[in-house]
This record gives sequence, structure tokens and C-alpha cells, in this order.
Amino acid sequence: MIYFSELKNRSVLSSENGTLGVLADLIFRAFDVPVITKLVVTRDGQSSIIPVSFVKSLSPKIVVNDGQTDTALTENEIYVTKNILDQQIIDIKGNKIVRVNDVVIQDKPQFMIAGVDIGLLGVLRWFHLENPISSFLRLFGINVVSQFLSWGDIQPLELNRGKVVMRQEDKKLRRLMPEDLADHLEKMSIKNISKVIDLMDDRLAAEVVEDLNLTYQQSLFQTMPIERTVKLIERVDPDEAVDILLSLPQRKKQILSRLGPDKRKEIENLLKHSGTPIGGLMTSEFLTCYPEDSVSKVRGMVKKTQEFSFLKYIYVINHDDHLTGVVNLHELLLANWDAPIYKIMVPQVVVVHLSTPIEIAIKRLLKYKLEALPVIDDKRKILGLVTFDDIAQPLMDRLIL
Amino acid sequence: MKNYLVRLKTILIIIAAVVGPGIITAFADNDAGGVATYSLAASKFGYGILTTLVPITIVLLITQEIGARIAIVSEKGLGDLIRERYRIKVSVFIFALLLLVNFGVILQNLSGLKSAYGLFGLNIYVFLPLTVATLFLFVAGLSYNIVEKFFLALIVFYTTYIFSAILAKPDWTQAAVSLVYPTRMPTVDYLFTSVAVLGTTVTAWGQFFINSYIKDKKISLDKLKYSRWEVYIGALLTNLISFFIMVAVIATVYKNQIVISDGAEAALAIKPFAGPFASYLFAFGLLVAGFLGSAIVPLATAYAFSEFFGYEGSLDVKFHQSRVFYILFLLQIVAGSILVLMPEFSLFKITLAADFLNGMFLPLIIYFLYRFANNADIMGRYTNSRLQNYLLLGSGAAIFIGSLVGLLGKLFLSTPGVV
Repeated sequence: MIYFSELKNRSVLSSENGTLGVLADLIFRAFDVPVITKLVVTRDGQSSIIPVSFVKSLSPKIVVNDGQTDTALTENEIYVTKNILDQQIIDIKGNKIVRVNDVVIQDKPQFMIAGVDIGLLGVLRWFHLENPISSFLRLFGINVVSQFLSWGDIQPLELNRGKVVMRQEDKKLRRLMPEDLADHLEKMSIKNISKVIDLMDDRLAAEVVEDLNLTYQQSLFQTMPIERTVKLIERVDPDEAVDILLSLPQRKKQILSRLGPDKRKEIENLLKHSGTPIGGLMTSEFLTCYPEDSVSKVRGMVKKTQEFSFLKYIYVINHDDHLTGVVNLHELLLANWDAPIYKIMVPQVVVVHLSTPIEIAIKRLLKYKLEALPVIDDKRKILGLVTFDDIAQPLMDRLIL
Repeated sequence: MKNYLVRLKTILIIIAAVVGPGIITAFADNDAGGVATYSLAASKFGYGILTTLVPITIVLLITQEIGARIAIVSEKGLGDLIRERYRIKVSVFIFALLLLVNFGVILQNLSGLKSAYGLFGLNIYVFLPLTVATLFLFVAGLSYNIVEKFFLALIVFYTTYIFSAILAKPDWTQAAVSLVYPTRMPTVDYLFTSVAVLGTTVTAWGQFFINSYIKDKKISLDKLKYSRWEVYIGALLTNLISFFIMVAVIATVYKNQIVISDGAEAALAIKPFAGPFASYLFAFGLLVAGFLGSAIVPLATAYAFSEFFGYEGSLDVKFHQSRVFYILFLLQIVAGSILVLMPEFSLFKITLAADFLNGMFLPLIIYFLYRFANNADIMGRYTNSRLQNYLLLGSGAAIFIGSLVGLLGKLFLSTPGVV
């Protein structure tokens, strides 16, 4: 991961003819996954926009291929400097308003905004005082850590200078991404959640429901009118639909009978295999660490796992034991020994639940080219892993049949 | 009849919604340092100095109105806007200056409190720490509404200056004439003093405070009209009190050609001519001024810190939610009290430094006000009029030149008694 303060005003080099100017700003898509799409480079007061596809590297040097520049902005694209840096954001988890001191950029699998730094170190970094001051404070036993908020945990107060009025809950919610919205909703009572869901159109409601945790999904659908339930079930991912239906034994049949024929067939097919419990396949050997742990500390932890039969990923959990990220062993070996884990972790973790049919676990392992999936409970606490080896046997059984 | 009552109720609701920021900020401008400066100026120039009050009122009115308007329209404090528009480095610089300048003003106020306690024969080593503790518990422990009412109640005590002035039996006709008609040829010395009086009334912290306070009070755009009047009334009333402070000093101290160097000495000097009661009233006024100043100025710094660096900062939340905000408030008054209680503490040097720094800093703040108030992006259709811009920039230039020349004068000409 790279800090924006390390990039701003750095020279942008062309792979062929010298310097193009200095980096003034980054443009990214504020919705879905916050992917960086363009670079704003200024030279003698003139600024030009370079698409990210021309970028060869951002760190340690910014190098771009020559080519056409000045692409227009598309919908939902916003600027780091203009719209995020130094602005106020809502810390959704902490439920308070904070100011962005620095922006954290992730370079794998593609350039995207990982989150923001709201702490003292974020301020000091702009003055190049981060290291001297933190080593000075360490002399007194004070350990300053970055206060990092991931993109999913924040909501910019102003996007494109269009004001988002906080007092009007629904207006603010419309600006949120569905998964963030789900996080935000999980703080409310189930009664309030269903009220908010009632206000949404089917498309948004389905996306939000999909990201709620299973307990909430269960209570929500137990009280929701059948017509609406069916509409939402039809729109959510079939994998999720199966998880939801399994948690609603009394209404399962009723809902299934009203689904469209294609959808119904697909879901019934998946449901058939739900008898195989993930729990039976689960390994309980896994390694966890905290986001602020240093790479060297985690490497030390890895060295103590001689008895593990499988170790490809280290899972990052917060102090409430919620799964918040994952680091693979390769990345851990490549990273600087003193970097904090959150700088190298991937915050989007592909997971399964205990009730997830084995079919779906297999599909997810193959689709995301992973070697193991964490099994989590309703509170996002890790229960164990399903590794590729674990599912090899059931996979064979199905192939032979 | 019923209609009439409904209208009365509406008016009262509007008053409750807007009263506070303008009046409290303006009155806190007449803090202990202010009382000292007014007393000194009046003791030196007599009725002639009253002429400066009208332009000062106009400058205060203009700058505070612009600050209030920016805060209502943008729903942001000055610190927020500087951080968002001028970025982190400028913010750190401006905040460091503000912290320094405000600390000087806090020292003025605490030493004003100290001498006021002395006048009443109270032990300063007991009462000053007690005041600090009370202030902190008040501000951190009570809800926003109560704190605001407490400040407004304090302001009522400023009327003691009116009685003090009446007891001093001044020449009211001459006082009234001097207000509008210059009775004195302006000398260099007179100009220095006028700028000092302006500098103690229009302050850098006052500009930050009115923005933050309005933001904290959440005054809505439809109340802009009323809030504007509240600011105007605040500025007028404050300078009316300044008028009475000066008149009380002129009728006694100036008339008998006594040399004084601060507010407490003014209170003492009044005694033989206007009687002990007038003196006590004056001293009580100084006490209230010191108390209000010691509460508001550190609050202004704490608000600005929250805005610049994004911590939750509001009188409206409990201590544990705004820990940084309240701790910063406490640190300033505790550090200030310790300094003031040290025997070798020199108020004169501090006053000199604080006034000069404020004078140098204020033009910078006026520059920001000018930029923000003319930016349609922030202000929409509520940008400054041309007249407002002329007045704003004019006062900025006057304060800058005045404080620079004033300091040089004080350092090199060493004219005794020049404030």
C-alpha cells in the first residue's frame, strides 16, 4: 500500500521522454469498488489527465507509458485531493465525523483506494516528520499507530461538493454503497432496518439484504410480506438465497412456490446439496493477527506453526474478533518488516457460512482461485477453514456420479 | 388577542434560536484586557478618545456579520474552511499562531481576574484555581443550553459599568458630542491608542469563535436575517458598555490627571472621586470580564483545533465524546493560571506581545474572511457586497499598519502610557 502524501507532487516520468509534470490528484470511482481510474498531472499550471491503464508503476517511481491523454470524467468519478483529502467523512463504525489526513492506496490487485488515515501520523507525514516523531515518542514508551479506516467504513460528507445532509437519514443512505449501507444498518434495531428497507426499490434492497449478516436476514424475512420477500429472493445471488432460505424453514416452501420457474429450479438444485454440512469438512488450524501488528511480528507467529498441515493465508481480525482482512504468505514475505499488516492486507475476504452448501464453497474456491475459505458465524467470527484439500473428496464424488 | 399571543410566541422562538453567538462574542471582546485598554486610553485622552468608538463599532459589526454569515451559509467554522481550502500545512501554521495569540489573551484575562480578586481582598492562590475548576466543570459538565444561558447571564453584570459611570458624574453632554464630533486633533500617540482600542475589540479569536459557535448552535439559513440583527445588536451593546467604561474613567481618573496602568488600578483610582460603591462596581465588572474572557478564549482555541484536525468538538456532547476538545480547554486555563500566579509574571510585556500578535494575525484572518465571503462556491447568493468588501479590507489594512507602527512606537519612542 502507498500513502497519497508520498505520491502528491512527485514527478511523473514518461517511459520514453523525460518528466511529464508532477502528480496533482488521483481520480477514482466512488461507487462499487473504489478503483483509481485516472491521474491528474500538472506542468507549468497546465493539468492533464492520464488514464490508469497507461501507468507502469506508482511506487517507488511514477512511470507512465506515452499515449493519448485528457480523457473526460465519467459518472461517479471523484478526486482524491478535491473531494476526500482534508475533508470531513463519517466514520460509520465509530459513528462520528472525522477529518481525512491522508489517503491510503492499494496497488494489488489493481490501484484502488483502501481507506483513509485520520490519525496524528497522517498529519506528520505531510511534514516528513512521521518517522522522527514516532521514534522520539517510542523513547517514552508511547507507540503511535496510524488510525486507519477502510473505505467500507467511511462515508464522505460531501461528494462532488454536492452536500449530503446528515440529518436526513435517507438522503445520506442513498449515497452509500450497498455493503456499507448494510454495515450501517446492522447498528440499528431490526424494526428500523425493515423500515429503511421498505423505502428502497427492489434492486437496492436486494443488494443491501445480501450484505446483511444472516441473523438480520432471518429476522427481516420472518416479518416481511411474502410478495416483497419473493421479489428480493429473486434478485439476490442464488448462493445467498440458499443461505437465507435455509434459515427460514417455515417459509421456505411458500417462498419457493412463488419464485419464477428458472430461478426456482436453480435454487432447488442448490438446496438439494445443502445436506452436506461445511462443519464436517472444516479445519480448525488457522492463524489470525490484528491490523496494526507489524509484518515482522506476524512472520514470527508463522514460525511457530510447525504443526500446521496447511498455511497459505493469515486472517486479519479486529479486537472484536470480526474478520476484516486477509494476507497471503507470499505478500507477507515480500513486505517491509516494519510495515503494519493493514498496509498489505486485502480487506475484501471471500467467506462461507456453516449453512453454505458445499457446492457453493467449491464454486467460490474455483471462481476466486483461492486455496482456502474462512468459515464465519453471524458475527463475522472465524470458526475454521475449508481448504481445497478438504473439498477434493466431495468434488470427486460429484464428478464420478 | 390570541393572534397576538401566537405572534409573540413565534418571535420568542426566533429569539431563542439566534440569540447567543453575536452577543456573547461581542461582549467577550470587552474582556479584562479590553477593560484595561479602554481605561488606559480614557485616562490619557479624556473625552476625545470617545470618537474612536463609532468606527470601531462599524468594524466589529462588519467583521462579525461576515463571520456569522459564512458560518450559517456553509455550516462550517473558519477552521473547517481553511483546512478544506488551504490544506494541512497552512492549517498547522494558522492554528499554531491562534494558539499563541489566544494564550496571550488568556493570560490577560486571568491576570485581570487575579487583580479583581485582589481588589476584593480575596486570596488569589485560593480563588484563581477555584475559578479554573468551576469554569471547567461548568463547560464540560453542563449541557450546551445551560452554558449558553450562563454566559448570557454573565453579560447582564456588565451593566455595573453603567452605574459606575453615573456615580462618577461625568459631563454627559460633552461625552455625547465627543462620540460623533472629533474634539481633539489626532496626534501620532492618539492614533496608536485608537488602533490598540480597535485591536482589543476586533480580535482574531473572536472571528474564529463566532463561526464555531454558530455552527455549534446550528442556526439555519432561514434565520440568517435575525442572526444578522443579533450580531449588530451585540456589537452596539458592547460598544455602549465600552462607552460607559471610558466615561467612568474620564470623569475621575482623567479629570484628576492620575496615571494608571491597568483595569484594577482604574478601579482603585475611581474610589476617591466617585465613592467606594462606584469603585466596587467597576472592579466587579472587571471580574466578570475576566471570567467571561477566561471561558470564551480557550473555548475558541478548542473549537478551532477540532475544526482544523477533525476531532469531535462541541459543547453539545459529553466529556468522554469530546475528550480532546475539553482537555485542550482545560490545559490552556491551567497553564495560564500557573503563569499568572508566578511572582515574576509581567503583565505589561504579555499585554504588549498579545496585542501586537493579534494585530499582525487579524489581517491574515480578514484575508481568509474576504476569500470565503466572496466565494460563490461556499456562499451561493450570499456573497459580500462591494461596500462590505471595502470596509473589510480597509479595516484589515488599518489594523496591520496600526499594530506595526504601534509596536515600533512603543519599542523605540518609549512614550510612557501609550497602550
